[in-house]
Amino acid sequence: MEIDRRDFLKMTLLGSAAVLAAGCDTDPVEKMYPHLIPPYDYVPGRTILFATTCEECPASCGLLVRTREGRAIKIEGNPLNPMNRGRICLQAQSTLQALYSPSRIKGPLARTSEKEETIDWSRGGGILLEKLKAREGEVLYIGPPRSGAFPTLVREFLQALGGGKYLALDMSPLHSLKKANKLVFGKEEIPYYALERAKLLISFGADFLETWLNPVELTRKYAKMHSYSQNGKGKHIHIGPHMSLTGTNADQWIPCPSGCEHLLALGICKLIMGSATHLSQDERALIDKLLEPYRVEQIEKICGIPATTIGDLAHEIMYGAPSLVMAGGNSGASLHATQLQVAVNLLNYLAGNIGKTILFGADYLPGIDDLGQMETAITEMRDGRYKVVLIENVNPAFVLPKDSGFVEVLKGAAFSVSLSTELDETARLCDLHLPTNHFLESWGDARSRRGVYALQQPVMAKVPGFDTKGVGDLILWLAKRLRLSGFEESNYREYLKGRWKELHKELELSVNFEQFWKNAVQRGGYYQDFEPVQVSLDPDLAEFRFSYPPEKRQGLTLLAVNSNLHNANAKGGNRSWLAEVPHPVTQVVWDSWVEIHPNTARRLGIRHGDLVEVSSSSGKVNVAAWLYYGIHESAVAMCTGMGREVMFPNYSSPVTGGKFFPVIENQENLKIVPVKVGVNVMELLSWRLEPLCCDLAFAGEEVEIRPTGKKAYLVTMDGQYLPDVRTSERKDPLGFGDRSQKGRGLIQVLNLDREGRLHEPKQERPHHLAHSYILEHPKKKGFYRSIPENVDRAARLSGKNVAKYHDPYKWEMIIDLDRCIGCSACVVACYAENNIPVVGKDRAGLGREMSWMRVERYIEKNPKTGRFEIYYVPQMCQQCDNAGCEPVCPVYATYQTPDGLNAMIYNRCVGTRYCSNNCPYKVRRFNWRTYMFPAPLHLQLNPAVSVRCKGVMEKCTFCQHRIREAKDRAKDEGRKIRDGEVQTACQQACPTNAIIFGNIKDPNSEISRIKSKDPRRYIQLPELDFQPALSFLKKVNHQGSKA
Amino acid sequence: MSQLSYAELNTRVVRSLEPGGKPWMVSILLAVGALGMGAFAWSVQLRHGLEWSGINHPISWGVYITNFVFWVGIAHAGTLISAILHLLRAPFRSSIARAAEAMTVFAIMTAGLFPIIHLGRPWFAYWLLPYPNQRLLWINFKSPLVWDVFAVSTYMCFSVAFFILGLIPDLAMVRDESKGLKRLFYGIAALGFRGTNHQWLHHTRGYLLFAAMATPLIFSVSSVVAWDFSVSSLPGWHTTILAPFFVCGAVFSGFAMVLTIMIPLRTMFPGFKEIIRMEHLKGIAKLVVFMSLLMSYWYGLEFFGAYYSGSKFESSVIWYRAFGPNKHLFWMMVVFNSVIPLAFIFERVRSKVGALLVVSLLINVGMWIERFLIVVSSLSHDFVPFTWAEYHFQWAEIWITIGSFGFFALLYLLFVKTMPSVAVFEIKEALHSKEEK
Repeated sequence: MEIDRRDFLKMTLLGSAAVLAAGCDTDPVEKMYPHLIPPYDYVPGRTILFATTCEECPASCGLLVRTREGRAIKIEGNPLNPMNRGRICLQAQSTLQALYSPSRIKGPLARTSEKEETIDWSRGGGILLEKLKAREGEVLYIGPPRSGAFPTLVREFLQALGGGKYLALDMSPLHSLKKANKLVFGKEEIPYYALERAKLLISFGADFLETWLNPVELTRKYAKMHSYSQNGKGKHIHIGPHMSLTGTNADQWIPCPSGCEHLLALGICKLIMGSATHLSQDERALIDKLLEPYRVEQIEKICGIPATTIGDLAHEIMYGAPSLVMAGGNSGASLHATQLQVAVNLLNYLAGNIGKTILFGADYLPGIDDLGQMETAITEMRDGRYKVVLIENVNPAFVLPKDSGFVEVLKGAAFSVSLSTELDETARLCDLHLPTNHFLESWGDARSRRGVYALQQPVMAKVPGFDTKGVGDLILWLAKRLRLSGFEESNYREYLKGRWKELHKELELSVNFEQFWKNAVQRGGYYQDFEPVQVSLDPDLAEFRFSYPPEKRQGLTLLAVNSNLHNANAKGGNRSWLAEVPHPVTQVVWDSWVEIHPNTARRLGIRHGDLVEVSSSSGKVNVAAWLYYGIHESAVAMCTGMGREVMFPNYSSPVTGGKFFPVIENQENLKIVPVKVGVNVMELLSWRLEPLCCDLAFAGEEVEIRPTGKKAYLVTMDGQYLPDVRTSERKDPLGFGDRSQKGRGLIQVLNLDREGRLHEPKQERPHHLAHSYILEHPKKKGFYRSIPENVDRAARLSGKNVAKYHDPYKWEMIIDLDRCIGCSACVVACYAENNIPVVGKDRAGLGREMSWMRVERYIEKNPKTGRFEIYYVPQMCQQCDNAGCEPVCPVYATYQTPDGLNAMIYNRCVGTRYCSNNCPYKVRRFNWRTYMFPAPLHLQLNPAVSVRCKGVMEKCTFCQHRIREAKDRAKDEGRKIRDGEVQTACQQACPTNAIIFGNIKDPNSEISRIKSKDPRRYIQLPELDFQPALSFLKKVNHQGSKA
Repeated sequence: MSQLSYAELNTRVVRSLEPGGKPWMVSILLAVGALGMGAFAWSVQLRHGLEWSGINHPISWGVYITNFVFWVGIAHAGTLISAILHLLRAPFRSSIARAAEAMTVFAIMTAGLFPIIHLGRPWFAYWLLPYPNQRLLWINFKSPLVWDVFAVSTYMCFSVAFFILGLIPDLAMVRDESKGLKRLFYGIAALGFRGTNHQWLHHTRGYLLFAAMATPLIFSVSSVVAWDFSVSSLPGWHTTILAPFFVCGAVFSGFAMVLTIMIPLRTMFPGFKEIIRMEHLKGIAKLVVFMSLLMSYWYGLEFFGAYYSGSKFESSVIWYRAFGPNKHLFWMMVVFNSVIPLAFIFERVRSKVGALLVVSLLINVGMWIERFLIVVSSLSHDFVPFTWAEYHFQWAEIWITIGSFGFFALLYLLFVKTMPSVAVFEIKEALHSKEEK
């Protein structure tokens, strides 16, 4: 394994982490800082990193949790874990808000139909023990998908109790993939997608940059494949009814009606059959037989996709090798999902991708049970088979469609116990609530794929004030009290160690177990490569039949798309960060919306932002319409996972308040109340499982849409739609506005031709006064000198010999727009790192959001193709050398530091806000009030960054506190800061490595190299001559267009 | 025209200082009420932050700065009338000079509140002053906001001094006409002015000196306020025409405000009708026409500048101002400031008191809108389209604005009942010179 300097650094810190971790002997440990005798190597004020494993989704990425003074304050990726290599998504970062969630339940609770009663553990445990002792029936355990030792423990426990069922509930539609692999190759597993090896990537609806499979790993590889380098740039084609964030990053989007994707794949198969020379006779005969009934002309008619497009796709695959075709995601989870996967498998097989870009033998994401089992469990519950139902950290009452009948059977269950950390919809229905630890407070393990054995350790003592138990410990305790045999371990950590002992034996390593265990704790697990296995076509496939989609229907097809970008997949906790960070494509905050194609909207008489009623056979909801060209005309899309309640301060609303009558907020009345965010799309879906694989059909529900005649209260963060003089009401009847950057060069693009050369697109001529703005203009005889010149002059005049300016550091940042996918992980990282308050929907709507960093989204019309294209550009304080904010501040609250940053001194700020006015990038934020961090969320606050009060300005600091920390460390060690030693929070999080940060004074640093050499570099608004320290690398488009 | 005798003049002015009747009390109550609401709104704002003002990101200056510029503008007319017109010996000046000066003083006092009200942390407003301190913290002399502090405070000190200097002989007159406590009070205020030749000599010289010194201040204060905007890099603000534009606007709105005040004053004190005569009002109306034409010129020049600069940011914001969502305000401003005042060209219109009052009120509204548009529309439509936003008024700023009018009105109402609101000695001088002819 390669170890670069960054990894080395992490590991040195991990060393200290291990000592602390080893210090925690049994679980639970109750320690409150300050220690009388602190652990060895513990220094107050120093960040300590703990390696653990994420439990937010089945991908099980490795985490490094930053802790200060015994509190987890920030989640980062573990660079050693091959799943995510140090990068991390938004949802994982927001898990801190689940750990410190104000809606987290504080202790055991007994519930009868009349009342809720807070009880203690001895009583709560006693009640459960009694029920289990009675042994009147079986026990059902529903939990989140886990792939390590835990399922074994539960299964053994249920076995010892005399039978029961363990069910891992996850809604991700992944079983079609497994099932299709079983059908085609005889291997029921999720393969390893080697995106980085492909030159051409075709995804049938798979939103692998957001939620599907293991998004962080796939995003990282995608960046490798799709970003521009000397070797060119891979091509990505997105096919499907919906253009998700993943689709917007593609080079081409081919709209295809829902339920027809498999036919399109078959059509391509047919066309590339001829060139598939690697097939054996038998295989050829088999595939020929499978494809025989389908003709391209017919597919053309059904899918509404011209035969030339299908031909082009086939051509791309034939000549674009190595290629990779993926299918999946919620928008592909129709009743034909398995057929689509089978067709795609065939396509991959024909293109020769199996064994090259698709490797079997990794067995990704094990441990999820399909929903067919859930259906069985519901039936069995109804039949009274289970006397005790244990539900742990899943929320079936919310995430399952209503007609699944779960809520009714749970209400009717003899005895139901919730073991969730959150008081969620399901927990409210249970008779007893025994809250368990959050995974950051627990021991555990996971196996994300073959060869990755990830370990979970508690990164901190339990959050003060919460009386919880580890779920493993609870089961062991129950087993002991029930006198079940085979559960000797005193706590779950010991149990886990026992399982890892077995693993250690299995792996036949040379190190002894203690060393192995210690290493695993330090490094967050044990990592190996996996052995790919060869697969071939299963001859039984000949029996497989594809079906045509049903006849064209009257209504619209609802796609319940999913994206962890906004909703944390309905996971528990107070994910206010995710609600506040705008959804990258729509820029909607704190709300649900329904995406409708403009043509459909015109037909239905709907304008952008109208409140519409969406009704299906299961129910109806009122939601805002968001007109979007990236959806098929026959479909509408809504996000799953919305509609949950977030605990939020009840600040009085500036929106509904009177214009003349005072709205006063009484500090004493400020409470934390639940705020509903959007609507639950499950109210529209019905319980239809795909017959072959038992995934829920997220796509294909027939809905009707009708305007209500009202305007929705929809808050989006992009202001550019505001009516400009150029888009009149008459020209823009749908009210969508012009969301382009209006030719202001904030995002710049290069075109890559087929030969791999870059071209500037035809640009507007700069205006005739440009030379008087641009300092470096050759003809310029300016009045102003550049800053270094000024400093030199000032030094000379003041009689000093040497001007000390930007010495030895000058921090700069470069953002590669060709890598940026707009996922906003950086924004959440910034919220977490810099104690940025969340302001809520009303205030966000007034433009009072506090985010220091934002990902701007522009919808540009391509002059050549006439189609709309979506671009993203991260924007934050550009730390200008010749900044506008500095000279206008009357009190020097903002000034230029010697290392080239625009420092902001909160204590000195009087709040004139002139700096914000004079900032052309508009990246400064003002505290319009003192915001609350509802307890216990305040425990997450980073002690290295001040919490700002009302009336002061704030902005991005390039994570100045991290620089400070590194400087201090470097000074102690008598050296300079190494390149890559300081990583800003946004850079650290970025799954695509789009952000490069470093010292420009160091000629060998990565940033100096890129800045001096890369022809794609540009700065925004150069005519203002603010000399920003943030530059961008231009986006590269294939042949002048993208999706 | 009937000539007033000196004694008659004295009586009339002294009568204006007698306790006011019901209308005056009602006016005072209204003013106190408005001020009270404003003070209440500000106290809420002090406690909770700038929550209840419509300011947002990116429009971080809004109604408060608009009010500041508006009141600074109002504050111009008094000094202009008493200083420049004094130097030019304009005939219609003497009867309105005192009232206009008082207006200046109170308007600049009102204006001075707004930069403090608008601060995020007003309790640290004194940090904008260069005072010696242990922390060795100094202010940033590059910042136009610091220039503002100096310009406004200089102007305020100067106009107060000028005002008091002019008041002295009249206070002495009131002292001589009154008895008892009142005599004591005005006696102290008159600073021992006895009307000796020696005193008159010094007073006249001093007054002339002040007038000469005040003249550049009229130009400087509005120019500095304009620099608050034009020094920034923001399109719509960053333009060299802003300083003369603001000076003209200030004079224009100041004259309108003088009319707005003089006409009720004449109604309130019927005895003043022959002191503040129709010719005087008509004289101001003529000036209003002139200023209105100048304003139209600046409005046109803004468009020309945007076109001629070739800068798309500049032209975008100027077009946005005129044709964007605020277009109603823009065209209202054009009508109120450039079209309606032209009615004063006609003798028939400008000799009607009602017309004068209505037009002057409309000009006040138009000028407020103009400042609002300059401040807000430039900020709402700047470089980065992603951040464009709109402004929505909130209750606190509305009440604070109303409160500022209450504050101004209260000061003015108290002034007319405590001090001679016409410059008696100057009118006497004028009468005298007429008699001599």
